[in-house]
Amino acid sequence: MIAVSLLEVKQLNLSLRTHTGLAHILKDVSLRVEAGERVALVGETGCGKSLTLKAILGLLEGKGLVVSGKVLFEGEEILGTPRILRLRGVQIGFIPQDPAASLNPTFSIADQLLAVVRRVRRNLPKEKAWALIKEALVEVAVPDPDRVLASYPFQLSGGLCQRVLIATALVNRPKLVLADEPGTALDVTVQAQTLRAMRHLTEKSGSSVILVTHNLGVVREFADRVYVMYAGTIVEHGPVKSVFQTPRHPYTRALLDSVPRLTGGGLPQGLDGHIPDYTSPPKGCRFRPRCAFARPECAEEQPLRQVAEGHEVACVLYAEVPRG
Amino acid sequence: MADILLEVRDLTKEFAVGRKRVRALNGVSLGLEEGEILAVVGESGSGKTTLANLVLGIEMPTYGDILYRGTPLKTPRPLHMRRRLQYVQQNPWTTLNPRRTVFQSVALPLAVHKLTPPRLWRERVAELLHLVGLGPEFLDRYPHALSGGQRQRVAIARALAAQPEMVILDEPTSALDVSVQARVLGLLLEIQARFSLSYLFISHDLAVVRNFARRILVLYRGQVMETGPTEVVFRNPVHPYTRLLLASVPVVSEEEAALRPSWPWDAQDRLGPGEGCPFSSRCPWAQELCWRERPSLVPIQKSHLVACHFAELFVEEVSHHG
Ligand SMILES: Nc1ncnc2c1ncn2[C@@H]1O[C@H](COP(=O)(O)OP(=O)(O)OP(=O)(O)O)[C@@H](O)[C@H]1O
Ligand SMILES: Nc1ncnc2c1ncn2[C@@H]1O[C@H](COP(=O)(O)OP(=O)(O)OP(=O)(O)O)[C@@H](O)[C@H]1O
Ligand SMILES: [Mg+2]
Ligand SMILES: [Mg+2]
Repeated sequence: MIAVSLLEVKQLNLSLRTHTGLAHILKDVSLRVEAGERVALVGETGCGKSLTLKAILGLLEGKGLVVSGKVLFEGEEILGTPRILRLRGVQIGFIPQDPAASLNPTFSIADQLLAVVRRVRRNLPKEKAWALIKEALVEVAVPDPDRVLASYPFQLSGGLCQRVLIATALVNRPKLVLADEPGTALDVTVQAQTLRAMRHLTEKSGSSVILVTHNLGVVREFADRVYVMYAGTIVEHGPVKSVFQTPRHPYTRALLDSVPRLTGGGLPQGLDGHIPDYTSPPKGCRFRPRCAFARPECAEEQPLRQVAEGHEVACVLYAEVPRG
Repeated sequence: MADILLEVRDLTKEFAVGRKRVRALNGVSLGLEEGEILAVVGESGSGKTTLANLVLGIEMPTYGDILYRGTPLKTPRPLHMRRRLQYVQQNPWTTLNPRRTVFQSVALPLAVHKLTPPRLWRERVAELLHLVGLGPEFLDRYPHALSGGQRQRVAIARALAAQPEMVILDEPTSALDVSVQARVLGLLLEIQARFSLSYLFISHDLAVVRNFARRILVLYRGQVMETGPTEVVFRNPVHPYTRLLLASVPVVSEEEAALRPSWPWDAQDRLGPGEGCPFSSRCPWAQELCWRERPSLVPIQKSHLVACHFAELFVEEVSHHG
């Protein structure tokens, strides 16, 4: 029997029509999530992290959209199928990037949570449903759940809205949770608590997570494996330990080198330049124009090559590395 | 010892919110030496921007004094003070007037303060842009055609145009990617050293502060919890709130993780604070005294001050033996 991954994204390509032309954003994005695994997707602003999640969730539509590739959930295709509609909110939970804008301002928190619960347990008696949503808030460390349940989104702080969204995404115990920058807009202390709550809950229910973030520290604290994204492409992926200890791709290294350290030692250098224009991205490696190691071969496609156990890099520098 | 450029004494600011009064700043004192970088850290709502607005004269203090080179500042600030004291705002998307070109924005202080004859404005602006790493092709661009990092650079160029002595930097890089952040911060340090400027650096990023500022001041709900030389405070954070802040920083290496103080994460928040320590409701070590009485800011070592009744719990023995 061949083991089937919980989620498998294969060669996802995504282009969008913009006023300056067709933007080729995601290019051959492949990723895989096993049951119970916490995976991070990290990269700079505009590199396509949110679009990747939205494509998986089937939340993108419109005339100007060109998508190809496969998204398999438990081995079955969900990209562009009605199946995703049944999975979303039930088997696949979503924590969107902007908490304030993601809650409906005209309904109380209780109503919004109840609606989500009722999608799975239509006939649950009112008291039981109420107890369930209250428990869901307690689980994400909301100090006074009764007050929060009676509140409307505008009456809650950003930190509380964020926790409500996590509770909403997790209340039906989905097999997979997609979290887009949870806690980025929050204070570090609240962010730390939010991540701990998410970690604890997903461990308890055995859910898998894809966590999108631009914060490498968050990746190290939270995830088992990491995918590094640059300009719509996966440039490196592997176990967090391996990638952080021996980053291979020049972009991953530059990103890690840009992080100021708590141990001191002075400010890092940073990286010049910016993400390319997606209407005419560079051929081959998209990082080429900013890369200190660029050479003519970089204009050719660079496949992901294994450099260590479960650790792959798409860079010409590793073309001759013997397979391990 | 260098001269004190800015001194703030017992600064308090209350806002009326409906019928209630919110104390955004509560008895804050600080001194900024000439050529020094002082970081003000604290979570959202702790009063950082309020402090900046009071120093700039955008808001009036409820009480307390603000002195510049030993002289109380007049409100509204006279023109020469508005030149010496510049401000770089929190948000790169609102900091520039969308209807002005980069040239117009940066030339404005030159005109207002009559620093350069009009025929030399373009040349001078180009020079300032060069200083912040932008080419002359940016002169006639509008803000919408700039990235976040480029906007922050223009805002810095505009502040420098006034030839200031002191700059208040309100989270100048928090909206930027790490790669860009590192560049902008590096630039700010370079400029600071070159023109021996003083910075009041507002931030919530402790890793940035560690590498950027000589001294640090930790605010919580408008009050100073701890202040001291950055290295000393990071080596021995004493106030529980400072310890919580440090314990919360997500880090990228084992060495940094080892540096973070431990924190009892599962402790529950308790009663809200009354007259006592503002942090008492979140403090796992809070005692009855902490609810009742506000601790004052006292030195535990030379220039390392802490406002905690039980500070001695966390003061590390200073070893003289090696
Ligand atoms: N509806 C849209 N139409 C046109 N371009 C879009 C659209 N949505 C996203 N983009 C562009 O696609 C690119 C990737 O966007 P995406 O939101 O996935 O980035 P991200 O990695 O999530 O960034 P951030 O960290 O800022 O959230 C960006 O350049 C963005 O401007
Ligand atoms: N004009 C105002 N009217 C009423 N309350 C105000 C006003 N300005 C600030 N406050 C309140 O004062 C407190 C301190 O706000 P301030 O903006 O100084 O915080 P901050 O530390 O800059 O936060 P952030 O990190 O979110 O920028 C907050 O509780 C805020 O709601
Ligand atoms: Mg995003
Ligand atoms: Mg502020």
